[in-house]
Amino acid sequence: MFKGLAQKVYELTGENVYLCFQCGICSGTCPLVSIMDVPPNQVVRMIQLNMEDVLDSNTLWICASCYNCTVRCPRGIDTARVINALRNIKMRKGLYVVNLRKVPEVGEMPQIALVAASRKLMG
Amino acid sequence: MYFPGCTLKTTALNYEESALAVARKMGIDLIELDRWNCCGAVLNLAIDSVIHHIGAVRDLVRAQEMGRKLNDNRLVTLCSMCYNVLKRVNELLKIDSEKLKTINEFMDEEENYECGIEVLHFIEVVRDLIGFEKVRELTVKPLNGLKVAPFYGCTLLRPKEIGIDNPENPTTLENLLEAIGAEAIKFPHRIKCCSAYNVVYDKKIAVDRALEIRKAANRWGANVIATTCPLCQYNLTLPSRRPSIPVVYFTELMAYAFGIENVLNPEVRKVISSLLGEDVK
Repeated sequence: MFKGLAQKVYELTGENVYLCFQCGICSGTCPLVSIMDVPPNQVVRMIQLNMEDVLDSNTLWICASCYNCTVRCPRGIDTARVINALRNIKMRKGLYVVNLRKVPEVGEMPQIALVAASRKLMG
Repeated sequence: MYFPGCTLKTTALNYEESALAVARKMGIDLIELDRWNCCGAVLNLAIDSVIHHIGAVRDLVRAQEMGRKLNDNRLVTLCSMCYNVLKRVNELLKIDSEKLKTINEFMDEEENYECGIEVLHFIEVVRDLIGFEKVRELTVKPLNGLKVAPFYGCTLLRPKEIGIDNPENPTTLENLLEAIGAEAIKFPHRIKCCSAYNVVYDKKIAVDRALEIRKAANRWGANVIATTCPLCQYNLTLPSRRPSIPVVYFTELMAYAFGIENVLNPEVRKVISSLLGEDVK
């Protein structure tokens, strides 16, 4: 139906990124946008334009799937799910960013943090 | 039936103990599930993922087995992340019969899951099955003058299909806090994210988020933050710059108000008493 990245995202999520009209509320509402190199609205735009560089942005790993963007998107795009799909594309190639051996406070952290991080960031 | 999840048995023991005591006081018996396992903590959102839901489904099968004996189909969770995952997997399998079939065929050592379990968060039980009126009646030591910042976090409210309340303007915690005599302050950060598992990836992210939330709570005049999630509790109490503000579970405040403060961790008890200006016994 679509081409390139947009098609991949559609296959992984069922979301149509072409619905996005760049209002930017996802980035406005994102609690972690200040440390992302590509804000969520631009991530969606880059998928529309089939810019594969988006897969190298740190946004994929910073997004904590808090769903603020999802509940507020006026076009009904599940933005958190779209970012999750990009993360899946990366992780299914075996690329991920966390090495639990290198986390110093591993012993004190609540298990849910570790389980969630390993599932979200290591596939 | 009650599903504790991993963290409630370790870093969040206070949460479990206070919740079980509060439940008993309200006449509910939370029976822990036999042989539960990890729910998975986060849901893989890719629509082609099936194997990631197995952990949660096994827990639901355990609940199904036990529910038959107890003649009950309600599974209560305390951790917001467990609530989110179990509920979403349950709802997903109700509508996606193909995935249900795949999972049932894969788990050939288990009985088939029949989607008859209802997943609830403890705060829903308090609101819908007990009612805040009853909570008010049970309150023997109202927390008068305590200004509490309610903090919902993400996974209890969003996505809205499974949230316990309105995702933009929730009122459950506020009403509960008022029922036990405390004052719930207006707190714009109550539905914000604490940065969750980013603490593992880069601690600074979590420290900064926590500082922002604590600063906001301080600005709006709160003495204490009440949370529902063990991960929010951990992140919000990460050591960093001031203002430091105590973060407790809502069940701990309830236990104090119900006069069963002996179940509380001595430190938490001391914090709440000193905030109320009472002498610590």
